[in-house]
Formats: sequence, structure tokens, C-alpha cells
Amino acid sequence: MRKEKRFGAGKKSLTEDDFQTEDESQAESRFAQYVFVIRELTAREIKRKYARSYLGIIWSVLNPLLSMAVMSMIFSTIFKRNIENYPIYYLTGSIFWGLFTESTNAAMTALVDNKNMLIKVRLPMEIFPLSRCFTAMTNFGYSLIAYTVMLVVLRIPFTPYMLMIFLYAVLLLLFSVGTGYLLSVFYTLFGDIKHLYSILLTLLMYASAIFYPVESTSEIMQKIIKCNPVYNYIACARKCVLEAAMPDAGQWVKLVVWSGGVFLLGKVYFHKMRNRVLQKV
Amino acid sequence: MGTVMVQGLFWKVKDAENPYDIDCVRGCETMKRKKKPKAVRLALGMVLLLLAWAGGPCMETVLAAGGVVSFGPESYAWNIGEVNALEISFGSDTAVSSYSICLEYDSAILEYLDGADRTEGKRLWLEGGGGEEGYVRTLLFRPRSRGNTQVRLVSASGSSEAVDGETVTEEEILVDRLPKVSISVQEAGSRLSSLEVGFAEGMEAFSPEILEYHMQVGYEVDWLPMEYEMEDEEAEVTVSGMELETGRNTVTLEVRRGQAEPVVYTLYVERAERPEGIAEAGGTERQDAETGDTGAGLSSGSGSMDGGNSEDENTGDGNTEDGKTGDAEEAAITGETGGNGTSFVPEGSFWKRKKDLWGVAAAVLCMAALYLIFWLKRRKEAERLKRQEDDAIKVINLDKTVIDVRHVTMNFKLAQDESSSLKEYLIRTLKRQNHYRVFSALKDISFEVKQGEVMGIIGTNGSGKSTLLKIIAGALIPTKGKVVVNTSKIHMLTLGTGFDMELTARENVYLNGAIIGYTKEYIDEKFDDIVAFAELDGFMDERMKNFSSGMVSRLGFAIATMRESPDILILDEVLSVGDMFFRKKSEERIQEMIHSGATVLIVSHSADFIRKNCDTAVWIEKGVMKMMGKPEDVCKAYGQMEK
Repeated sequence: MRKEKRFGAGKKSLTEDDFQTEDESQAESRFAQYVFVIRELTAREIKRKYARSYLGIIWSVLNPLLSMAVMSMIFSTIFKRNIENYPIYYLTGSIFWGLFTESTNAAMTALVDNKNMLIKVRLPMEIFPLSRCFTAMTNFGYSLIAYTVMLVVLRIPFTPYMLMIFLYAVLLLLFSVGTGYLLSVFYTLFGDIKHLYSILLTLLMYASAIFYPVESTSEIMQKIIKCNPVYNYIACARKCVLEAAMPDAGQWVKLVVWSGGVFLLGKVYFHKMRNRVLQKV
Repeated sequence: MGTVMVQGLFWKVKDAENPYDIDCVRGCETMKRKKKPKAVRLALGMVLLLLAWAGGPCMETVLAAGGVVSFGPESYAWNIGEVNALEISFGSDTAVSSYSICLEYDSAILEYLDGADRTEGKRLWLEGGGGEEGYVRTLLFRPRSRGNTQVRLVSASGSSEAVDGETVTEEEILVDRLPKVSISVQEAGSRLSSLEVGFAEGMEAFSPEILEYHMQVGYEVDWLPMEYEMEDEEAEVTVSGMELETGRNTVTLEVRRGQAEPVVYTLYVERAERPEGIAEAGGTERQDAETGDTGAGLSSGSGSMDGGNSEDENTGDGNTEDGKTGDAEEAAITGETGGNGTSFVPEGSFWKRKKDLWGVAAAVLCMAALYLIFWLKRRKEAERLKRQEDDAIKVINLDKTVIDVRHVTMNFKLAQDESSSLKEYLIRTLKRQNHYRVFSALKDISFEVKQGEVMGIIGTNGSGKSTLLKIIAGALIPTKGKVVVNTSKIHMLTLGTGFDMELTARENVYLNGAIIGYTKEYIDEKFDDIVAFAELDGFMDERMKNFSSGMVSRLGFAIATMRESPDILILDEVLSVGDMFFRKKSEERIQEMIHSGATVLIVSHSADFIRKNCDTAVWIEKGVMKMMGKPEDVCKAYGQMEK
């Protein structure tokens, strides 16, 4: 530990910025370049994902629809009449959950998978987890097509509240990016994280009330579920679609604090560990 | 097991396992063309199937939502000996083909007279049907003795028939709630004979035997004026809860006569919320007149009331302008929808629900504030960078040094036996056994590169040359020392970084180009040159996994070298690729880049290359700078060491 601190002191006096010189216009074109890189990387991930299937990107739409069909078939018999509009209830939960798991799972391995690029190319490391998260976001966009179709089929009237779903998705993305930053660094340092995280995800999923009604669980369980950050996003999204209502103050605070907090934490930690990661990779 | 299954259902479509898997190269395209319509048809079929499945049963369940059995009011006050009617209705949102309701009553207090289809002891059955959506039935009772009793529903069920062509499907109508009605039986003369309530809207007509009433009042009414008469003058009435608060209020009138149980009338009063922006003070004539009226009614009333003084309070809360009365009505609507939290579709329009608008406004403000903070931060950063740039220019102007490496030392911490798992790491940390060996890749290296200079770095494998280049390029931060260089002007030549074999060559050009720093416009412009140089015309829409390794490296080289000569070029052993002819071409290209006036750093094992192309050379051995000087001298010394 002590040794590490000494190294740290050496680093501190010399940050990247000390010898980086550029003016505002350059910074801007640089930013545009990063956007371009992220776009290209995202496109690659998506093309890659469906490279060997005939239906390709259509799977992004079909997948949530089919899984919804299965889940509705199973659970509408178990929780008979407990939930109004079960397909939408489930679909809302599952697409938000999908956005979270897909982005964090992919972002986790982003640094290790791209280690060649990481060393050879002078790009900010953040780009790799970020592009993975955007891939998940794009997928989420396609799922929204499925979602809209189901809204129309089930004759759920459109309200302006439904637009809030985009805000929640962006906030959840922010949360996922933060988590992804943390995980990607952990994963470079310890490969075990991957397995640990899959277990944690299982736990989180069952505590997210995706395919069962929250009210059907015990009181303690309900409390646990309400502490789960991912559930909060799902609950808000369901509220705006199914009840045409805004989240209450507590939920707002939770939404913003979880997103902002985890994002900043992830960013700061990511930046701090930059050199360690580069050495390790 | 469960999770794996569920996750699989969501998204996971496996990535292609083997990017190098060889497929038939030429046949691919024609096969694809044939298969595409099939795939689309398949997709369409699946979607349709799904819609049919999801849409069909779901809509049915929505329609057959169930039936509702209700009594009119749910509490009554009846007099002994009089004949009283009890109403029961059975309703459903589908046509009811048959229904059956079973009720139970207390025969000690009530005597059943007529109305049921079937009786059995204390139970009464109501049965019928025929296709209407609702039925109303009346039962007649005559109370026998004093006391409180209930008539409750034991069961209720029904069925509906859906005729679809020739098939008739029968579906059960479920009734979720079985209500009951409470009846208070008294001797004649213990009830109110009339009741009037001022300001109230939507109140049911008063009837002495009905005990519950619902009503709404505006936000300005904070006290409920009432006028009532009793059947018997000797009875005493106690009123409670006349002061109204915003929201739901319960006002009770207790009629007591002698020793008997009191008859209690309950009024549920909903008071609207005060809309924003309406002042407390002021009053209109209209309001005054109304209050005056009720005031007069009150004084003539025979009840014991203590609210005479609230006349003034009432007037004090009136509206200032007539125009704002509209707002008050809107507010009443808001209150209603707000109270009815489970309503599926908002009853008021979106813009009328002001409370929510505030939420949206707050969210927008928050985001604007966040954006502002980011913008300010970026501007500040840009200013700081600009200042630094000025400083840097001064340095460069002094001695024209482009790259200044000052006492750079790079230490890597290598765990003695590296803990690659978390468990091991934790155990070691706890036992304080995390021993590191510090490995110095570079020890106190200092040199300068002048503008336009071509410098070669030579040394055996693993002596830290590549580490040095990474530090100069800014990819690694040195443990000690400093490198002064404008990193945004550096270009490190790398071949085929980020190539993805599953993508087509065209897509890879854009991907690789983006990664090594080309803008989209630049790639668009140079695309044809790249293809021509790589000699891959006609293959660009082919997947890269079908390329030979030579084709891949030719494309990589073409992209990497297709730039206007950078200010500072770093070459790490990328000299020539491909077959003999392409090798010649690529060597020429490299020579061209090196001698284009750029500042160049070259790492090479080949002393010959360095001797031919460089102005100065540096020899680094095991992290230590052994020598710096003219290429001939350095290469000679290096060659001697090898021997």
C-alpha cells in the first residue's frame, strides 16, 4: 500500500494535461472525432452481433416481443388478474432491465477486448465502455419499436407522459455508464469479477420486479426492491405509461442521485485508475 | 439455471465465435440474394403470429373484466312496521345471459316480503338473464324489531355469451367484490325528515332512510351550512365536523331520541384544492349574496348550531375576479383526478395538471443547470489549455525542440507472483503478502528531438523502446520525469487497428479510419485512393474474414498512410508489408512520409534502416540510454555489442 502511494505522488505532479496543448477549436474538432469513433464502434458492435443471422437487426425487435409472449403466457396464468396489462408491465421492465444488463455486461469487458487499440491508439479509454453502452442504447431504441407496437395492439391511449420514458432511459444509461466504468476497471484488474457480477445481476433481476407484481411479495422484500436502483427506473417508466403520472419527489431524487452519483463516481475512478489499467492490460 | 434461461430470452444472441471461419467466398453473394426475401417473410410471419397471439387473448380478458353487484346506498335507517325497498343491481360490461345472486338477511330483525326468485331459510336468490348489460332488482322488507343488522351478498355469478358466426362461447362473469348493506331499524320518529346542504354540488337527493351522501364543494368553502328537520321534535341532533379541510371530509349528524340507538347520517364532502395564484383577500357581490342566503337559512333552522360567526370567514375567501372562477373549476377537476390515483386514463387534460408541470419544469431546469456547469467547465479548460499552448510555443521558439524528454523513468509494479483472482488478492492483502517487484523499464532517459529531425531508436527486444514511444505519445504516464510535446500533433502509425473480420472491407475502412483519427469527410474523400493503393478494387463489400492475410495488411497499410504528413510521426516497426511488389510500393510510401519534413521517431531492430534514413540515433539497452549521436557511430557500437 505504501509503495503505491509513493508512485501516486510521482504521477500527481504530472498529469496528462501538463503537456497537452490545444486551443478551443481543436478541442471541439477532437470532440467531434470522438463522437465519430463512438459511432463507428457502436455500428461495429451491432453489425457484429447480428453478422451470422438472417434476420439481423430485426431480432432486436423480435426478441423482446417473443420473450414477452412467453412470459405473458406463463405468468398471466400464475398471477391471474393481478396486473392490468401484463404484457406492457413485463415489457417495460424487461427492456429497461435489458438496457442495464446489456450495457454493463458489455462495458465490463470493453477494455480487455480492445487492449490492442488501447495501447496503440491515442484515444481516451472511456470511449470503449461508452461505445458498448451506446450499443445497448441502440438496441433499446429498436425494442421501443416492439414496445410501441404492443401499445397500439393493446389499445393503450397515448399520453404526453409516455415521452418521459426517454428521459428515464437516458438516466438509466448514465447509471449504466458509471457502473460500466467501474466494472471495466475491476475486470482488467481481476477477471473473477465477471462471474461475481453475473451472480449479482441475478440477484438484482429478481429484486427488480420485472415479471411479478411488487405487491405480491412480502413487506421486507418490497423494501429491498424499492432500494434497488434499477427497479426505480422501471417503476417510473411503468408509472408514466400505465398510469399516466409523474414520479413522486422521492423517486425523482433517487433517479437523479443514482444516475449522477454513479456516473461521476465511475468517471473519477476510471480516470484515477487509468495508468494502472494501461500497465495491466 | 432460471436466470440463464430468462436472460437468454431477453437479448443474448451469440457473437460469431470464430471470425476467421472460412466460408465460400464467391457463392456468398448469390446465396444471400436468394435468402433475403425468405428471411423477411419469416420475420413478417413471426410478427403477425405474435400479434395475433398477443392481441387476441389479451383483448378478451380486458373485455371480460367482470361484473359488479351493488346496492344503491350502503346504509339505511328503517322504521319498524313500514314496508321498505332494497335495491340491488347486477352490471357487467358485456351482455349478461344469466346471473344468480344469493343474499342473506337476519330474520329476527327483518321480515322478507317479496322480490326474490327463490328463498331458503335466511337466504334469498335472485336469478335471471337475457342479454342486457345490467339488471336492477328490488326486494321488499318489513322490519320487525329495533336494532342494527346487515343484508349481505353470499355469492354472485353470471355468464355472458359471445356469438361468433355459428359458435357460441360462454364465458363466466366474475364478481370481485361482494358488498353488504347495513340497516338500522328504529321506531318511527327517530330520523330526519329533510336535510339541505349549502354550496354542495353533486349531492344525492335526501331521503330519510338513506344514511350516506357524497358531495363536492369549491376550495373557498371551509364550513358546511346545513338546514334540517326532524320527524319528531323531541329528538336531539348533534353535528360534528362541519369545518372543512382540503380534500376529503366526513360530516356526521347524529339523531338521538330517548334511550334508543342514534341514527347517524354521514356526509362525505370533497373540498377542492386552492389553485395557485389566487389571493386570500377580496370578495364578490355574488358570493356575498349567496352567503347571506344560507345565513338566513341557518338562523331559521331549528338545529343546535354554533357556526354563526363563520359567516365572515366565508366571505373573506371569495374570488377577486370573475375570470378566476374558471380556474377554481379547473382546480376541482384536478382534485378529482388527483384523488383517483388508479385511474388509467387521465380525466383532466395534460396541461391542466399543474402539479406535474412543475415536475417537468424542475427536470428541465436541472438539466439546463447541469449543461451550464459542463459548458463552463469546458470553457475554463479551453482557456487553460490555450495559456499552456502559449507557454509551449515559447519553449519551442527558444530552441526549436519538438519533443523534449526529461529524465523519464518508468517503473512497472510487478507482483512477485501475480494474484489474478480476487480471492487470492484479498487473502494476500489481509495477510499483507502483496509483494511487488519494481521493474524499471526506463531509467532516467533524457533527449530532445528538434523540428524536422528523423531520429531512430535502436535496441534489443524488451529494452523499453516501445514503452518510451507510448510515453511520448501520451498513452502512458511516466513514473518520474516529464515529456514536453504537443500530443495532438503526434501520429503513431499503426496498421489495421480495430479491424473486425465480420465486417466488410468498406465498413472496416471507416472503423479503422475513425480510430486512427480521420474524420468522416476525410475518409469519404480518400476512400478511392485507399482502395486503389491497397489494390482491392471490387472486394470492398466483401467480408474481411474472407480476405487473405496479405489483403488485410495491405488495406491496413493503405489506410494508415493515407494522411497528409503529420507534424510528428512515430513508427514502431511498421515498415513494409505484402508481396514483393507491394513491399516496394510501401517502402516508397514510408520513405516519402519520413522525408516530408515531419519530425519522425522510428523504432527499429534494423541498424541498416536507421543508418540509411535517420539524422540521429539513440541506443537504449535494458532501460538505460547507452548512446546518442550520429547513426553510423551508434549503429556501429550496437553492432559490436551484439558480437
